Amino acid sequence: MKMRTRRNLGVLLVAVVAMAALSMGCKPDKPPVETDTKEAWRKQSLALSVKGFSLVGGSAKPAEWCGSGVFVAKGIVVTNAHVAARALEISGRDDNNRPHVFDKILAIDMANDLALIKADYVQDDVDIAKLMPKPDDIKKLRQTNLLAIGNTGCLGLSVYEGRVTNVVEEGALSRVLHDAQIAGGSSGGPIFKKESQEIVGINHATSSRINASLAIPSWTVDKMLTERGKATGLPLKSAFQIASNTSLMNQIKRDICLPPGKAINVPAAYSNGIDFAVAVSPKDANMPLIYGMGAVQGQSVQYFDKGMVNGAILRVFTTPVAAQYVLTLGAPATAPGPTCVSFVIGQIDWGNQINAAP
Amino acid sequence: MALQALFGASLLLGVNPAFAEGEAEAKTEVSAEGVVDASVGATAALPEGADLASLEVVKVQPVMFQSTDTMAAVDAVMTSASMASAEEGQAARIMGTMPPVEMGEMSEEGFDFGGESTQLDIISMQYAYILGSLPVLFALDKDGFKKTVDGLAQFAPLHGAFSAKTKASLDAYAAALKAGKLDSKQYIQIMLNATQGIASAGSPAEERRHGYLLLGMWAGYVTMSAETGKLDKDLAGMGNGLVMMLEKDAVIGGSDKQLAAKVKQVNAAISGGTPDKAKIAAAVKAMLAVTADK
Repeated sequence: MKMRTRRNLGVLLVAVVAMAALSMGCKPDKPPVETDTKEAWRKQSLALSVKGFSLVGGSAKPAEWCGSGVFVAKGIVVTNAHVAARALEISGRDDNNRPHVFDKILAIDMANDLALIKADYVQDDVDIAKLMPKPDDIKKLRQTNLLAIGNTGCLGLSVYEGRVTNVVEEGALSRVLHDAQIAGGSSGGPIFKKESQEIVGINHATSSRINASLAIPSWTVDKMLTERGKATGLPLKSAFQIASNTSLMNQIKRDICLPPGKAINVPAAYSNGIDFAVAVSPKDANMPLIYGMGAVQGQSVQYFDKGMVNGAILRVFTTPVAAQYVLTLGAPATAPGPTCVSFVIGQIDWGNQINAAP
Repeated sequence: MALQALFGASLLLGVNPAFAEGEAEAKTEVSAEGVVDASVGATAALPEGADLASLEVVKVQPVMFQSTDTMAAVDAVMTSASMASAEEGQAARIMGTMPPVEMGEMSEEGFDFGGESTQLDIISMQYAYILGSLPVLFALDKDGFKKTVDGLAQFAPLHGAFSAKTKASLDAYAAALKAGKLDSKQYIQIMLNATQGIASAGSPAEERRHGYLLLGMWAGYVTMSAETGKLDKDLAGMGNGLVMMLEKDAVIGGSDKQLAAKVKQVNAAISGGTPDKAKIAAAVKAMLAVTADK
């Protein structure tokens, strides 16, 4: 909290100094065209507001959140997957307060935390940010001066300065680590090279462990744009349906018969922000079945969703924190005999439907 | 989200201030129809009366390495392992955790036995541990890596003791190792298939055997993560799931309880602020030294 206050104060001071300089008639020496370039981000970057749903207590509930994004092609904005997932409406405003409305999603990549959304109406003079190509030696990016743009606190676009501290490439994954301080609402916001205003990456998280901000590199965005930028995509209203066509990733399926008073526990370790689903189908709807979903706390399980099962059920969740979650299914002690049930558990694969759309 | 797990990162989603103040329901323009459409198939409410406290847990089905985050983390850790530079004594420490397992020690009895661990279970765990930890030797000790891979050839018949999918992933991973390659995809598939192998086992012995395979892979991944400096605290959560299986599941008994205690020690070693690689190695070694009931 202190850090955030200090940052806000820093931004305020910059603003005050800038205003003081202008009020003293201190005109910049740089030519106007360069000034325009330096401020290109103002038309390229967006503060996003999202209306959608979250998966709480087993079912979908209306929710609102905010994030950030940047135009990377005509009418196409890149943001984080965790900003776009479960959205029904996404709107954005650039730094000139011009509104943009997005009605389609073209692609979502949960592993790289990226999504491409498309505007329903493209303003003629919208500015498109340039994605920096992958350098031959990614380590040479270290110490590059950056501007990090983000909708911090859902209050509109904030600007932070920083430098690239490292670029990590492991397997199919890459991350740009930097020291520009970013906070809630900055998800999906661009980090620009300060001088050339090329996008170096898209912010997605902070790490207290290594005291760094993490961004997905521009070349990962470019690959996604190349592969899916020309897709028609899916309307947001129907892209995130939890219906029969929603597949579960690496789902575990088990059939089991439980004697009266006995239960099966299914412990599953998930990170935060994971959408997962549990489907339970009793073999005989007349046989009673106890259901519970909880989180391990110490030696016990705290159930946050529970009830009796009469017929097939589907329960859906977004993990609020990284924890060990436990599904419990049991036959009441009063059951007349063994209760047989089939269950499936797995992460919801939003990309399966969206990325398959033409 | 990807490397988030490795870095212990927090996502940066903002909460709409209006929503935080509890005014969102009035201000939201999300149509009820949209939300209902989105939740099609999700059961809205369940009848009350679930007395979970009255139930005795007799089965445990662990679920591990299932999400995109953990799968990405495995990929990243294996890549790190392939590029690691050795600290003094590191390769020897890792080699020291590997049990001197030989296929000849495998007892055939116990294939249809449930309730107590067999030699086959223990060998499955030890073999899986070697498979799971071996990538960390890839760059640190090329000779040790090659010798160990050569020694693994004798275990090919063991693959047949597992489900068809588990066998296929074991075969593919072992073939990659033999070719001098690290195949993170098959590494993950072994764990996912072993998990499904527990779920769809045809006998208690088969179920337990897949459980021991999963235990060994988890322990191997713990070693690889610790030695590459990429230990993820989620691993302790997965370890807790395995402890739950060892302690509560009715097809598990006897020495499995000892094993549960050893897994808890591994969990304690990886849960501290600054993990001590030597302590983790010692705890893993002790876990792998548990002997069979039969």
